[in-house]
Amino acid sequence: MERNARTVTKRKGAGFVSSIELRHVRKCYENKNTVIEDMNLVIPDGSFTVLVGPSGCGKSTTLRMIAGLEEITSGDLLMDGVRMNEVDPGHRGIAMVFQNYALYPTMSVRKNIEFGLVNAKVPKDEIARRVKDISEIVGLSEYLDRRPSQLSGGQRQRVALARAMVKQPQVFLMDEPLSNLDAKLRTQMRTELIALHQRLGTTFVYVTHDQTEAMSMATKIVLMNKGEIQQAAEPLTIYGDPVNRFTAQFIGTPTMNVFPVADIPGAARLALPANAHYLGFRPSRGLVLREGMTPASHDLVFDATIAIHEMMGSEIIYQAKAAFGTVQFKTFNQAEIPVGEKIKLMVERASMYLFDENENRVRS
Amino acid sequence: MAAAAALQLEADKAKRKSHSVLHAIKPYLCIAPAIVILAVFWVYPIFNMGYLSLFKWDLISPTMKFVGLQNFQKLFADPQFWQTLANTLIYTVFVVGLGVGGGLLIALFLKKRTKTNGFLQAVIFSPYVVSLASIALLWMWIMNRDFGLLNGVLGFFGISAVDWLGDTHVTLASLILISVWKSIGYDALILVSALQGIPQHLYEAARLDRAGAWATFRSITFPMISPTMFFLVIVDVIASLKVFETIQIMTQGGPQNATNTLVFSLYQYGFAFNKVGYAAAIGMVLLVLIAVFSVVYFKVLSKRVHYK
Repeated sequence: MERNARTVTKRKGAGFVSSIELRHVRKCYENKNTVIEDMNLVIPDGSFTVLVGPSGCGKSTTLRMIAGLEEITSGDLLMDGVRMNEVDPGHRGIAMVFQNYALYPTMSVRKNIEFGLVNAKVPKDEIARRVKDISEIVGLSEYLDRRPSQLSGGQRQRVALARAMVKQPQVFLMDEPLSNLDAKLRTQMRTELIALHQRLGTTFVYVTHDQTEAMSMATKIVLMNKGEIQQAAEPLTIYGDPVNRFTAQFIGTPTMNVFPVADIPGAARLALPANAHYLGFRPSRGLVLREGMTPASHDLVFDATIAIHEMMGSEIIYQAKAAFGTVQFKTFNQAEIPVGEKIKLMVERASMYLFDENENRVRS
Repeated sequence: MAAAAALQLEADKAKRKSHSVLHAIKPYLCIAPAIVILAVFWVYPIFNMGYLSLFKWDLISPTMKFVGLQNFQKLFADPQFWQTLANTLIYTVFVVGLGVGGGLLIALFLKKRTKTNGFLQAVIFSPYVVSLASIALLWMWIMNRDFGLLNGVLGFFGISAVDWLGDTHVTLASLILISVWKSIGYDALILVSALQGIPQHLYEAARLDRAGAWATFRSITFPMISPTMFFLVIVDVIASLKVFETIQIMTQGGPQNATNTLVFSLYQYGFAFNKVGYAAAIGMVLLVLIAVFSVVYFKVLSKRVHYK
């Protein structure tokens, strides 16, 4: 809820924001390999939309089609209602940050930042002003005369951002821009990107395979698999109300526990719908049954033996062997349960996710 | 006991010392064969050439007459030397310019990895692997005034025959053409490889930065292949300044000295006219020319070359 309430300073009147729409977009390569079959997607203006999914799901291809770096085989790409399929990448009002930054290695930081403006024939004094402003914002003022090879990974990332920002684009496209940074810097840059989005209020389209990045940054997540959109919604909806087993298991750490209903002893008394083929629950919803806790009649209770535990600080992640498979669950601020200990785990009926035999969500 | 221990200690020290000496000279021993070969066949001849340039010697007499710098004075006063120098420089400028420039154009055309381009690269590279003597003989036939292929083709279009290897105004250009024909495939192949090494994402970033074809070439492609261009220019310049084989086989420096170059002139004076001192003086001029070019080239351009 907090993420949805993010205040963005839209400058719609000034034309700084732009919605993007993909209508029946298909992408097929020369070798007849179809990457995207039929994509329909609306990216709202001013949103921070994250395309997320496993490798090869088509998220980068989608981004590159929006950028104009990949031809669209069929279908329409619209920006603010205008068809953009044949428009050159440089004239789409977009800026892109690449995974490896794609900085020009032979140019200084200053030249890298101003290259797009020089090509767009922006007046020299305007270029100088913008470069100065942007380099101050991203903290690069003292590195303007250096070459990219003389900068650290984080500084290069900032140059890539500055190069995108200086063009004052309507849309920022980012293709896994944090994946080359170490964990600490990645977390820091994540926060900075959120702040940047809040300040600029422009549309951000961000590609990642990291669900944590998606959940923490997005105002809208588009979850993809095998060239198809599995679910497009706000992060909390994706997490709390997944439409299928893939979405349920892709988002959330550790991944959701899902087992065939038929394998779970005592499943019959749970009063599940007839088409419920799989039963799932998030590790955070697996509760260790202790004295004084009374399960309701429709709650799932089963025996398990602790096999592995991982201390994460405020939480402990356990793997426990149950009769129907290995279950993961978490405890928060509790004493560690030793490996080998036999426990009873409980899952409340309201915390269960049910899926039919096609792995689509069954709501009860 | 103490004495025996001291002796053992001394022996250990000596052993360690001999080990460390061996360790220190090992790299020098490893490169010694190469150094000896370089010294005998490269360094010594250079010094010997400088030494010979101060003498008058006919290659046969057992004694040499010291003449100081007279060979150089004669050389610089000789109009034929200046024509030879001019021929050499013209030849070098055009061979390098057309070879590297043309090679770059071909490379830009053939850089995409396709089967056709691979085949064309092999075709264009093939002259490079043929010996210069064979190439010279082939082109002597192609450029023959009376029954050569070139004039045959020109005649087909009604153009009158050209004496490619006999006209003073054309012969140097003919030799330049042959040299470019031989080297352009090599230059193109090396440049294709350099062009293919440029990351594609730089071009994508340039497209997003609205860079047109010329801006992309000037700001991205050319700087990225600058180390290769730097290498090709210096190698081709030195090779062109030393041109000999085609002239020896095809024109003998003629007609009327129109294709005489420094190295061919050196050869003629040294081994045809038996003026070894004079020939050595020509060799020294060539050496200085190459050295000055190399130093200036490295000083001026090496900072503008982008190394990864």
